[in-house]
This record gives sequence, C-alpha cells and structure tokens, in this order.
Amino acid sequence: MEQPQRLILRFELHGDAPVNLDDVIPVFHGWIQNGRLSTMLIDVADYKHVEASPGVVLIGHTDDCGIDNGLPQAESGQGFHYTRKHARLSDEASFLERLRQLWTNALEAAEALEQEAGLGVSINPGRLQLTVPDRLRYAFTEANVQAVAALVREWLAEVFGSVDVSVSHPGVDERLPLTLTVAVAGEHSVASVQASGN
Amino acid sequence: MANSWKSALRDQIPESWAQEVDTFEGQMGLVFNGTLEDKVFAETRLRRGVYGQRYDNGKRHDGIREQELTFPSGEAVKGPDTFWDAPGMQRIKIPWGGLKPDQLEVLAALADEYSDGILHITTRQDFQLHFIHVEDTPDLMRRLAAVGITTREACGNSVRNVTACPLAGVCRTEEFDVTPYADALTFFLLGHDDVQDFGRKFKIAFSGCEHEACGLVSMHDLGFIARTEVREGRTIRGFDMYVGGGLGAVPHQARLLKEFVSEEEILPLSQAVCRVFARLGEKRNRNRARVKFLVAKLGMEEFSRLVFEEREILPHDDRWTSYLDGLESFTEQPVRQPIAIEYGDSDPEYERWSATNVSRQRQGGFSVVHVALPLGDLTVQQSLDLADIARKYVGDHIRTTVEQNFVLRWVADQDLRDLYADLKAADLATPWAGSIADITACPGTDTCKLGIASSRGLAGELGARLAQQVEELPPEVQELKIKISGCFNSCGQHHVADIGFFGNSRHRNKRTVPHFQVVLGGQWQENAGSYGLAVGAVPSRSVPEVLTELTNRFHTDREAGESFQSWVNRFGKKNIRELLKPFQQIPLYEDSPQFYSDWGDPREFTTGDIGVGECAGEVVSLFILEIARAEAEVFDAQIAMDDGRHGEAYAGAVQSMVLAARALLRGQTVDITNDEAEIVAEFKSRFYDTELFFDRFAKGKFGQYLFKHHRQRVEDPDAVSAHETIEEAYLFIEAAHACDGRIAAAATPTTGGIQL
Ligand code: SF4
Repeated sequence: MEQPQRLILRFELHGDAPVNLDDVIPVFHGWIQNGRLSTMLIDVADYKHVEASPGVVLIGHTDDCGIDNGLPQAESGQGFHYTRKHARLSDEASFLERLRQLWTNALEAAEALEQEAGLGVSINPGRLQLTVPDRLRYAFTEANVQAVAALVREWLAEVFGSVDVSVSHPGVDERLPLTLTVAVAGEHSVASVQASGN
Repeated sequence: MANSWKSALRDQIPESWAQEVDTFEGQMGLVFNGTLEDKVFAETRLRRGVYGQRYDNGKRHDGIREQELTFPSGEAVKGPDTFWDAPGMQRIKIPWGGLKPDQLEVLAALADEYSDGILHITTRQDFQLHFIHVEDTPDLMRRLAAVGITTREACGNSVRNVTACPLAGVCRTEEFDVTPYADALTFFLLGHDDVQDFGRKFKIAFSGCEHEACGLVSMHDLGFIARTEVREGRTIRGFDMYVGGGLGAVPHQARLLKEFVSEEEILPLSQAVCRVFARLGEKRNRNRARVKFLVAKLGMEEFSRLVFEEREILPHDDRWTSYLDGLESFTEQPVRQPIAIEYGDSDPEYERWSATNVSRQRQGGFSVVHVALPLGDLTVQQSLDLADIARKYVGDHIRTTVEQNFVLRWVADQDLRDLYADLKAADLATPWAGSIADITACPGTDTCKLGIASSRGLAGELGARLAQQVEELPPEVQELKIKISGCFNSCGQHHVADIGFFGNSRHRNKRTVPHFQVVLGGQWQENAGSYGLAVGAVPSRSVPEVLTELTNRFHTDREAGESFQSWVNRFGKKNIRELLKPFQQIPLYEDSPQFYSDWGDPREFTTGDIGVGECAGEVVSLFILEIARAEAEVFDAQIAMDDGRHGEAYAGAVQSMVLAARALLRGQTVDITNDEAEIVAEFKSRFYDTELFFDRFAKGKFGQYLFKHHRQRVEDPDAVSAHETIEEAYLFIEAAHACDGRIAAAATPTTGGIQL
C-alpha cells in the first residue's frame, strides 16, 4: 500500500469534568520547556475560540498533538488528537510501520497527559479514530476504507492481541479525509498497553 | 492512480501557472543544495506567498531560557536566518475576496493536509495557512491553481491582493459594481514586467462609493472610488484615483491623483503609477520604500506630472480596454428567486442574529448575510459546511471581508431562517457581526516574526468578555469597532478603528511587561477617512479595564448623536490621558505576576528569573524619569495638533525625540547638557553607530527620524507633516523603551532573553 503523508489518531477524553482548554496551554508550554516528549516541539497554537476545532495544539516538527473542543457532531466529547506528519520525515517506512510509530508516539503523549494531575483526564486507547489526511493516495472511498480497515486490524492485533476489533466509518464523503472509528473489545488503559510492551 | 498532484492535476491547471509552480519547485532544489543564493530564493518564495513564521531562525524563548530549535535539515535555510525546516505561513490571495464553494473546499483540504486544520482570513481578504513546511508548498499551489487561485505575488515587493467592498454589486450606496474593474486590474498587473522592481509592497483597493467604509481607499498605495457622470445624456463610469496612502509605522492618507478617470483609462494610468514607483521609489532603505514616501518626497504635483508624462509614452496594450467587453459576465444571478412568505412567531435568537448579521441588498427581496468568524478562524468542517450552505442558498456568491469574516450575497429573504438554522448547525451563526464584539486582529506574536505583544490573545480575551455583555451595552457602544495589531506595523488596521491597540513593551525592574498603545478616534467610514492617534501605552493585562473605562465615559459624556471620534476630540486627549493614568501602573511582580506575561501565553515576558523578592519598592531608573518628559512633550504636541497649531505640534514632536535620546544617555549616566546638537551627536555615537538602538527588524529606522529633523527642520509645517512627525516621535520613544529594555537584559545574568 502507498505511504500516506500524514496520519491522525484521536482518543476520547474521560474525566470528571470537561477539560478547560485554558489549563492546557501552560501544560504544553511546560512540555516544551522540559522536553517532555521525545519528538521536537516548537510552539503552542490556541484555537479554543473556534467551536469544534483542534482546540489547543502543541506544534512539533514531525508530530503535533492537542486537546480539541469536541467534534462537529453535537454528541461528541473532547478528544486528544495526535498527528504524525510523515511528509516531513522523508522516511521509507511502510503504512503499517507508520501506524506503529504513530501509536508509540501518541501513547507517549497520552501518558504524559494523564500524568498532568491538574487536568484530571484519562484516555481509553481502545476507542479511537484514525484519519488519513491524504486525498491523493487515500481519498475517502469505499475501496480505500476497506483496504485501510484491513491494515488497521492487522496493526491492532499486534497491539491488543486477538480481541474483537470493530471498524466503522461515519459515512463516505470524498471531501473529507478518510476516517475510521475503531473499538477494541475489553477494558484498556494507556498504562496497560504500555505495560504490555506494544 | 496518479502518484503526485502534479500529474493528477496536469489537465486542470493553466499551463503558465503550472510552469511557474514547477520553476518554484526547481528553485527549492537549487537553494537546498546551495546552488541558489538563499537571499534570492527568499524573495522568490515571498512572491509565491510562502512566508516566514515566528521562530524560523531556530530560536525560541520558552519563558525560562532561549532554546535552540535543532531542525533535522541542519543548517539548510530558505532565506537569511530562516531555517529550511521551520514551519512557515502560506498566504493565498483572493482577489476582491471573491470565493466559490469548490475553492473553499480545496482550501479546507489544504488546511487539513498541510497545516493544522484551521483556515484564517486576513485583513486583506486573503487566506493564511500556518505551520506549513516549505516542501509542501508546490503541491499546495497546484491544488489551488486547479480551482483558479494563484498565490503569485501574495507577499514580497509586489502588488498584493487587490481588495474591494464585499458588497460590490449589491450595495445600496454604490455608484456601480467595482468587481470587474478590480478583477481586471488584478490580472493585468499580476506578473506584469512593470511591477517586478518595487522596493516594497504595493496595495490597491476599490470602493463603490465615497462615504462608506468598505473599500478603505485612503489607506492604500493606489485606490479607486467609483463615480458616474452624465455626458451628452449618457451615464458614463469612472473612478477618482488616489495614491500614497498607507498605514504602517507612519500612516499617510492617500491623496487625489485625478478625479474621474474613465474606465478605459484606469489600467494604463495604474501602469504609469507603477512605472514611476518602480523607477523612483526608494530601493535600499525598506523603511522609506512605500509609495507614500515617494509622494511625500516629490510632492503630489510633481508625482502627478511624472505619472501623466509616463502615461503618454506607454506602449499601447489591448488589455487596457478589452476587459470592458466582459463586464456583463460579472453580473451575478441568484440561485433562488424571492417569494413573499408570511412568517409566524419568530425565534428570539434568530431575531438577534438577523439584526446584526443581515443587511438588505439593493435588489429587492434579497439580503446579504454576514458570517462572523472569531479572530478570522474557521475549521475544515466549517469550511465544507459553508460551501454546502452557499451552494444551497447563494451559489458562487461568497466573499471574504477585511474584517476577517465572510458574506453570503443573494440570499432570498424567505430563506433567511433556514439559512440561519444551517449556519447555526455549523457553529457559524455568531451574532453581532461588525459590532464591538467582532474584533479584528493581526496574527501578532502567535505566528508573526515582528509581533511584540499578543494581538490575538488580547482580541480573544476582549471578544469573550464582550460576547457576554454586548447585548446589554448601549447602542452607541455596540457600534464601536476595535482593531488590534501586534506591533506598530498596523496589519490589524488599528489606525482606522474607533478604539485601536498596537503591541509594545515596557521595562520595569529588570523585567519586560507586554503593553498595548491605545489609539483612539480612527475613522472607518469615508473609506478610512482619518486615522486615530496614540494616547498612551497600558499594560496588556489592563486593557479590558481600560476598554470598560473608555466606553463608560463615552456613554455618560456623549452628546446626542455624537460619534466616538467627535467625542474623543471634544473630550480631549489630555483628559483621556488622565483617564488612562490609573491603568498605566505596573504592579510588582511579586504581587501580580500575570502582568509579566501576555494574554493566552503563560511564558514570562521577561529576560529571566532575576531580582525576584529583592525589591522593597520600585527602583526608578534615570531613564524612566527622563523618558517621562519625552512622553509628556509628545503628548502636548498632540494637543497642539488637535488645536490646529501645527508649528508647535511639529516642534514639540521633534523635541520629544531629543528628550528621548537624552533619556537613554542619562540612563547610562552620561553627562549631558540640554544642547540638541550635543545630544544628537552623543546619541549617534553611543546608541546608533553601535546599533544598540536598532530594532531587530526595523534596524536604524527610528533613529533616522531624529537625525532627519535635526539636520533640517520642516519649514512652516502643515497638518500632514506635523501629524507624521508626531507618529515618528511616538515610534522613536517606543524604540527608546525597547533599547533600554535590551540594555537592561544584557546587563542581567541570565541564560537568554526575548529579543525585542
Ligand atoms: S502588525 Fe506587526 S505583529 Fe501584526 S502581523 Fe503586522 S507585523 Fe506582525
């Protein structure tokens, strides 16, 4: 399969109350000050004033992450999103290898976020959304959905073992990037996945 | 399947545009391997709208220390002091703001794939995408070109986006629709040989009438106001042409070049203006390189003479008039015809929205809907939703505005409620468009390399507070306009707002405090008919209280029907300054550390952790004491200016610069008399020649103001020269503050510092 230029993971956030995005800004600045993540961090972008936007984003060279203020669908809560910008890496890694790297990096950031006691969030890595913003190679078509879904199953079998993985999508719209919603059976936490070494 | 956008879009891009992008891509390769000089590539890049962004020199102060950003491409650069890998901004020109749904969809896709998922509308009806990698830009340009958008000459020393009233063609006060003329001039000058050798940018605007604001002609290098005349029983079209306007550090009002230039003549005469500017405009000193300085230098009479002389010798070009055959093609057709409908009870939310966001068109049964965007931002999904909404109700008739919003034109009145519901579902039905709550702001310190204070942070804070209160405010306050720039360069157009702010800073007790200069009484109407003047700087954190105080006072003091601008003049700058005084205090860091960081940015706005806890009280430096005299002097100059005493205003402004120079010398405990020649000489050798006084970007520009007036005083100064000198004095004083801050920072044992 062709290598996508960019991949995004999104996990729904759980917590006692919605995260106040004003509180996220100093956390991300602190991460830059302390080199909290293993990727190169540059700056913090604040879009909390826009509804259903990426919210507050920690901009990096190859990876961005952030807490959004919900998806456009009204029922959606806040999410933690993680983007890997492969076009900036010029690496030869396959699609599957790119998914693995995305997962490793995203979980590192998710763990760091959970450790920010002031935010009081937890993340269930078994509920996620994968987006492939690459309309040239992965237009949002039924055929591409099937191909990417098969790869996602292969990848998540490595991560979670042989459990049920359901893959769905919110409805094909070729103007949007290809997006899959994934639910992994069972209870999962960032710590348990990290502990399993996957 | 195509494996590149280049091959996928081969048949959809005009050949010349495709070649331009290929050439640009080729140059990227050359500069990356060192064959092409980075300086040359930088101008090429800018002319394709690929702009630098904050921290692209590989340094960022994280609030504790300056960190090196070590990019993977190592030392490779895309311009002087601009790392190859550093995120940049892509500006996308939208001539006269005209946008179609398919174009909006492509813009959304680009934001998704190359940027951070946000589209931003600028104060020149452009789009900007941020955090873009330079290597993504050729494909981005190809995808735009495939839907008829070019980024050519979006930045750099070139003709920037040609702006026009967003209501052109549907406005009730216009003479005629200026759209086809703006479009013709855009594409006539795009890439034209005569506009390739400018010393600076060149901005053009079209307005359909004289008295409204939309075109903002007075603040442009070249401006057009539509006029009609009846000759021999026939109505003919023409334009009053203006030149030499501009905001920036020293704002100028455009001056009339010629009344009623016929529609056949506007292209050649514009070409002649461009030729004169290219030939005689300043090239070496960027700070004097706009048309306004050339007009001031030559005088309007001589400038006009040269332009008309040039016009006479221009070789004929068919394009000057060929576009007139296509005027009709710009006539817009509604998607839906109006029908009379009786409505039942209305939703109060809809009523509130429609009161501020809907205006009647000239064409009966149709309305224009204003889609207000917070800080000019919208998401990918909102862009797609808006494209759908446009298709459903208005077809291609979307425009961007210089107030960083959209308008949808040709909405059949019976559709307004359904349209509102659709906008609401897309989170695009924010009410109070064009009101005090709809604030315009430039990018400021968020992404701009020149930003001093956080214009977007402040705008976000004020916007959030005002959104809660706007409904309760008196109507005359609701109608005020707030515009904010992150520095004196005025991209947020603070000069033409009722209440404007531009970012600066003050140094106190070895720390730097973000401030905003308050600029009051600018005129939005009459095509930006007059500019506001600075009345004093206040700490960034005090701006909300300042705004409350100003608007309350305006409300209670105002006479019936009095505008904010008239009130400012009547109330007097002296009284306003008194009103600001309590808010100008900077509390001790230990008491209020938030004063030492900016809105939306928790990093300390200082040079480091020094002197904390050591102060028993404010230690007032000699500089602070002396600079206060300079500030008082320029303030008095402004009062003289308001009273029409132009000679005194001019003299006071110059004197304030001398005093500010003296303040710097005293701050370094230099023994100095009050003799101007001695002060200037000492200032020159200690601060100018050593470049201590130099601004990081403006270099020695502000120092030159003092030298210029010291060398030769303006004889018999008029209102224009007095006003300009006051502006220069303010900038000189600001530069003195910044210089003092840098000196203090350098003297402080610290691991780094914000360089202002
Ligand atoms: S006004 Fe200053 S901070 Fe704002 S965009 Fe212009 S140069 Fe940048």
